[in-house]
Amino acid sequence: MRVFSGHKSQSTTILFFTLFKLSFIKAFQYRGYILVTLFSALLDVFVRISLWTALFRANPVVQNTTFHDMINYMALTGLLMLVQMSGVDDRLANRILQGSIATDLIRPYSLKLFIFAQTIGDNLAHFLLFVFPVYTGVLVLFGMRFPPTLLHGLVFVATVINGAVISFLYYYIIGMLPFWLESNWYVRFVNYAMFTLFAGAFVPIWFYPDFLIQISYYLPFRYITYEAVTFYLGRTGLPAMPAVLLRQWVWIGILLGLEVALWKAGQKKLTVYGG
Amino acid sequence: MHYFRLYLQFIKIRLTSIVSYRGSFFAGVIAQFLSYGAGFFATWLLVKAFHELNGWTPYEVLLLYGMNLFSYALAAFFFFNLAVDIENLVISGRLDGILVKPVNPFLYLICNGFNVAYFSHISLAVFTMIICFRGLGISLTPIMLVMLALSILGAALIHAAALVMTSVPAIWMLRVRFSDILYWGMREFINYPLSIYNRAVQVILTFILPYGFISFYPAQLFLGKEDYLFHPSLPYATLPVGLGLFFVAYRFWRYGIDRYQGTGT
Repeated sequence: MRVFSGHKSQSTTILFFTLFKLSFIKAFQYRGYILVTLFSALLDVFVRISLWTALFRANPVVQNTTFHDMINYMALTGLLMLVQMSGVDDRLANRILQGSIATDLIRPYSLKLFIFAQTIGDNLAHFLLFVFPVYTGVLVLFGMRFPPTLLHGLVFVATVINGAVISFLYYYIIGMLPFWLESNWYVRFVNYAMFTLFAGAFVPIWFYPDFLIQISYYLPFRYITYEAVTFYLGRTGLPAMPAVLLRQWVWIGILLGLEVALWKAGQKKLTVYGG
Repeated sequence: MHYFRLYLQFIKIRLTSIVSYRGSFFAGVIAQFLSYGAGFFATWLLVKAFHELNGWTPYEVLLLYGMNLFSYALAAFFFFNLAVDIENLVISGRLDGILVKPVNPFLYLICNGFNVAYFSHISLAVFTMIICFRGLGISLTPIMLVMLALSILGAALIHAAALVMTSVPAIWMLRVRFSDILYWGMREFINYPLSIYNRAVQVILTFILPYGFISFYPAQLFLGKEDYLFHPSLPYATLPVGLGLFFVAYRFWRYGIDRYQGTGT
């Protein structure tokens, strides 16, 4: 293919944008699917707004949190789904389980970049179609917060980007598990449990009892979007942020090391049945 | 009797398949236990942080989860595969083969689709309900236990009816999944007391898509609540509602099969 000729980094960029465009176009194909998914996203948000309304009815401020805080927390966490790289794990796992990884390994591109481009394409399409309209609607309706200074905004963006890297590496590692497991359909349930409890996906971690908060510091999940959102809402001050960013980098280092080691071990372990 | 023996045979085959994939099966049971358990625990922590949700204490809200999961798992044991596999059966043409077998196709599909993965849901649900009743200091009298069993049976029939009805558009090869959303999307509503929603939602979940009878209304019997919303007799109505809905769902499914055209494969 012509696309792959020429300078290596240039062809990688072209490959990236081609894949990105393809998964984007694919998501727009099914109009019925779009309507149904949009409707269910609206239902989901409606349930959660009703829940928060009812919870704050008796006390307008609980643990230093208002209804308005929670709406912003929910919407921001929802919008940051864009940097949640779920889907990476399934893409890699399916290649290993079905054996197509064998051809991936001899193709002249980085498999990681390939999966990254596909995931970003899908996520962005999903984001523009469902996430963005629903949650910006919520924010317009209930009032949105903005960072007080430009520096706050920049630190927020840095935290989000680090979170995206952590998320990608985490899911990539999870996707490698089929090197050792015969089936992996249950792994997603464990992931769901982890994100529910330790990433603040549904209930913010600050409402938790102390021992759970302590545990969350030793797991990567809170560093994906939770830290960025709590900073955005002003619950974490600017002076505390260098430590947060440092912890994120430490996690990126740990996960990168783990990823490289597992990838090496996995390739040795890999058996693809002929066909 | 004939069907019962057939059913036992099918269950035996399914159980044999578990034994062949033991590791994967038990990993799955634990993983699903964790995933639902984490959701339950997070909700319990949340309501605990706020002390109450519209007058419902953490254990009372958790009881709604437990009843919902228990009845869903009972229904899904038998009807989940029926609802989910039908599309493939239609596309591959295997439904034609089932329709010419000398058994009722509905019963055949239920027998064949026994889904063993729901053991983990049922054990978690029972565990949760026991924790709730203990936490609330409620000891159930024999009459109350019977009422609980009947309510859960009725609730399971409501879930079953929904699963059966959502499979009908697939028989007609309609790819639009509004029916799925009506079911899967709406299920989230009943994890919380119906009384937290506005009037329109309450009317819908009581009279149009009567999911309120799965946990919210019957739970009032055991919790001594007076959140009746519409009428004090509603907490007793779960079983009749379930029976009625299931009958309608079964008729609708037969109607769907009568209008099945096949794909020509």
